Amino acid sequence: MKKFSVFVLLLGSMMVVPVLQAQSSGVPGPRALGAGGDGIQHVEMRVEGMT
Amino acid sequence: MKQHLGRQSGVQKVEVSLIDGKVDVTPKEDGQMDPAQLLKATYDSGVSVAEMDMTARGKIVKDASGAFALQIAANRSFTLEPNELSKQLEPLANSPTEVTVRGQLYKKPPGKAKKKMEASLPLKLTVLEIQEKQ
Repeated sequence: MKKFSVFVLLLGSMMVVPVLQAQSSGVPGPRALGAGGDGIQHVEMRVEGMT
Repeated sequence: MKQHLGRQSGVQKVEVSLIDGKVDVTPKEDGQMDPAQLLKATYDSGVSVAEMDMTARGKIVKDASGAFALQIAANRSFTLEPNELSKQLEPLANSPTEVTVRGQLYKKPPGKAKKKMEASLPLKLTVLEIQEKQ
């Protein structure tokens, strides 16, 4: 039981550390940049004849 | 028209403003959106497009014909219509610098005749604003 608890703690810490590192890296991902997969961020059209 | 555009590949969200006749299209994060297809889909829904602007991020490249282009993906680029702003981007050609630009891809030609839109229409990008260089 004790061994199992240590294993769970170890596994949990291994999962938490990369998440914390990613959050503190400050590098904006694609979501932060708001870009599509191909670099297009936004398209705007002015249209006529819309009802 | 909103549903028509929403069905296009790579489109996340379509917002239509009836008051000022504006349509905003937001791409999916990992999708590939084709502005020429959007233009065609809008025409197919019975609405005439007066102007189309795009904000995009990419690298400046010089193609085989000597024209400068904004490369937004490995196999996708938009030829730049030469103007004062595009000249500012020319020194960045084939460098790793990425730029974010807002530009005009389409403007309805003067006259009343309605031309048939082709999906393969080559769209040239007239740079209106350089937002970021990195």
